[in-house]
Amino acid sequence: MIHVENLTKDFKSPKKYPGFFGAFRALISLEQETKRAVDNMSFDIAPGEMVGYIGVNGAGKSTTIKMLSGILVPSGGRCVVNGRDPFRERKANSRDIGVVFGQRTQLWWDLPLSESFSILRRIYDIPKPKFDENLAYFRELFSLDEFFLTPVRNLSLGQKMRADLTASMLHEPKVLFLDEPTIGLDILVKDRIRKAIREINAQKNTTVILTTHDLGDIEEICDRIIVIDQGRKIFDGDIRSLKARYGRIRELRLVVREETPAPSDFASELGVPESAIQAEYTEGEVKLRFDREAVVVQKLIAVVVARYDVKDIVIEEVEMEEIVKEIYAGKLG
Amino acid sequence: MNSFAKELSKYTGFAVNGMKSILAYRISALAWSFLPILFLLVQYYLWMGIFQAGGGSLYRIDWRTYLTYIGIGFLSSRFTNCPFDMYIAGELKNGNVAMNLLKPFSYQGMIFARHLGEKAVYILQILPMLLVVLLLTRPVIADGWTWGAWGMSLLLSFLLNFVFSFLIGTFAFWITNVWGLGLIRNALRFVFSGDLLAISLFFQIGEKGITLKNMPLPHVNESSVKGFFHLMGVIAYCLPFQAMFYTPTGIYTGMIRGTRAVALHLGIQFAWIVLLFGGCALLWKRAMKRITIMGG
Amino acid sequence: MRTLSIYLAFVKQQFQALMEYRMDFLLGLLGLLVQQFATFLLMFAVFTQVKAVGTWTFEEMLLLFGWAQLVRGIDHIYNDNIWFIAWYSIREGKFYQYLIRPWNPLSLIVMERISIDGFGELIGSLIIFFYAKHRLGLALGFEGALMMLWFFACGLAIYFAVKLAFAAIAFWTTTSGEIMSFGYEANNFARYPLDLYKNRAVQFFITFVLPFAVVSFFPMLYFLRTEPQLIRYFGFAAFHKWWIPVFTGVVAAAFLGISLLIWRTGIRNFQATGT
Repeated sequence: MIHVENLTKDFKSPKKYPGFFGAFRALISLEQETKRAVDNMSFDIAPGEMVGYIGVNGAGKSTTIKMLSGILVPSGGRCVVNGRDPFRERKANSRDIGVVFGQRTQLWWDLPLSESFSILRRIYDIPKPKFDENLAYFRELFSLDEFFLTPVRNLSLGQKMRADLTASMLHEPKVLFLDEPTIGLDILVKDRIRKAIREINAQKNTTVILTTHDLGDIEEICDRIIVIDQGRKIFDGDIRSLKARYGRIRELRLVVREETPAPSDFASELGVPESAIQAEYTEGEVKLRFDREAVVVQKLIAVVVARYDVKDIVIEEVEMEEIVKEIYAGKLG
Repeated sequence: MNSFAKELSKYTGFAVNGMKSILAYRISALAWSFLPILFLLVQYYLWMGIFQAGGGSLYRIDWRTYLTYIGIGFLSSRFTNCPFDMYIAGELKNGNVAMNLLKPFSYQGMIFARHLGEKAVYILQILPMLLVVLLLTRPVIADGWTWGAWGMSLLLSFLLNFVFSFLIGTFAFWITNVWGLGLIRNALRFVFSGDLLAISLFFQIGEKGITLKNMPLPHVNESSVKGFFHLMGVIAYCLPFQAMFYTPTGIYTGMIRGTRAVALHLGIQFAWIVLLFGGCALLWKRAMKRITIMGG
Repeated sequence: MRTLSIYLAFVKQQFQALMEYRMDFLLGLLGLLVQQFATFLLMFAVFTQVKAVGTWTFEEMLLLFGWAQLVRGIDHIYNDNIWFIAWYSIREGKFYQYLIRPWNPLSLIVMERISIDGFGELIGSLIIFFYAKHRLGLALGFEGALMMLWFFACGLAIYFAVKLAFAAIAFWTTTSGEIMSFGYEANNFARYPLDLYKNRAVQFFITFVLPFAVVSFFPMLYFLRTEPQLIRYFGFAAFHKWWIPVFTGVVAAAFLGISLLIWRTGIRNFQATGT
């Protein structure tokens, strides 16, 4: 379905010089600097998969999507989408993919939704019955009726996203690329969008590739995540096994009366190896991280309560955020 | 002294920014330097052709004077024009202005400083144009007194342009779509700023004593044509455009001749500045009220 | 065809939007009419003193002016969107939208917008052109009308080519609106006869570099001048009038070809550098 092999993208830009006279220097200088946005990326995605592509801003997520959708041409390596080279067979590829960029609508600013969709129908050459069926489906899924006749420029961000998602799916693409689709949206709308994407995948078996740095998206939608940093893939694996691995880790946070809580040697007190429990001490707080298969929770609580004057206590699983931080720190391979 | 220097340094920062923004796009910068010469060339050939056909003079103006008019007019208008009107309109509409109100400087001051900065760089870009103007139109060198009056007029014109631009920008805040307004303004400016025809020509054509050598439209009578042109001249003086563009060049070329006439024109420029400044201040206050109440 | 139905959908939309921005449209129309009138006024003023400028009479100059504006007006109406590409779309990162559709990006760009403003130029120019034609007693006949259509098509092609080429520069420089304005404004200068510009370099420029003279001046020569007079412009080659339509066609085709090449190269570059 999607095959990416040693994909690389370099960007050249004219060298910039700092300061006031730097502006003049930049005017006459011909030097260029190269930035490698995507660095030898390789992965394969099977039909129907929902893959999350995580990275911080500037990591190269959007660039990869742009290459897969035929917008950008790779500097090195290759990618194959639905059996085609997205750059060489741009038009054919466009028919089989849907692309949505968050915060930017691809619909026509002045046109009401109804018009935009009917124009898209003609551009993608969707047979009328199929079009009507799909449109009805999305009208219901996204409650489009409330703003179906409104020009796009008057829509809120959430409404625009729903409209864009519809627009990208009307022609039943096999692959849907979503670039930061929930960015800037409020919680309720985010939730709705995420559910809708899951449903689309379930109903139509659309492959979904989602770039984001919102881990909530990942948790709700994706089966698999690929983490990239500075253009390089640093992790590729499915979420379930990640969670299983981390499923054992718990975080215990104590709010204590002591302003500077004295450190304790929990490991030896509980008779567990050093690696099974870590502690962090900050003003008025003690944070513990432990492997719940190595540490007996009851014993731990007893020790903690005896040692400190506890005001408040929170125990939770390790969140995706922590997991990803660890990935970035290189603790996972 | 210290606080004045501090105030000044705030604004110089903006001026520097203005300069940097021009230099940021080098190709644009080049384009701005050379391509306007195209405009000048056409004006030059057009009027040369016209004057040749007319035996060297048109009405009471001879070709050397008119060429000087075109050349100097070209440079002055580029130097004094102010492109911030649409920018200001945009900023008002999208509410960005509100953010600037929170900061310890005047918005107008900031724009003016940027304008100055951009113009400072523009002087560099104007050099090739200056060269072409000198070589092509070979302007007549005026005497010292005329230079002084011209300089004064240019300064007034610069200020007037800024105020007018700001006024248009502020005015545009109340109009739903600025495009039409801009087109009308451009059209009026084209006709009444001396760009199309030197304003004095309007009056010369309309002058009662001289008969027209030729009547282009056979079914129109001469007096109504004269009346029409005279009217155009009068309208020109009712609008600020001639004060923004025609007056300095008119003074330089001697189309506005004599101490009284020159003083009168400088006075008119000054009066326009005051008038438009007042209008602008009023509109601005109302706009600010609207923004702070409604939030943009 | 699908193209037509898509285009009509956009046009319909524009007219609906027009109803909303009525005042704006009227002001724009008025503004452009005034500008046309202004040039008319200039010519009128000039011709109160002289009977002819060079070999051109008032009515002939009006005809030339009218025709030039007619082509410019129609081009303004249907080919306005390209300005947004030059000024805005590429710089603001919106150009990619055209690349994700299974449709030729240029075709989509042209179809998306029609400018109602252009009607101001159109109306003014029609009035001036037909008035001048009437005053000159110019009768076209069937052959003349066909020829006029041909010149019209070539003229539009040249306008299209010039705008496209300049807009395409934005693929390399992010924004090319300013340069494009100047390239476009060169057309003002072909409102007047070529012989007015005594300089060979200028004449060459308006004929072969930014060929706006080929849009209006040469076509009008066909109708207004006899063969012996044409020799002044074409030398030995002017033995027959049909040289003009051939020349016009060749220039139009060449420029169109070059500009499409620049456009395509520009898109390639855009896809390589991502702007």
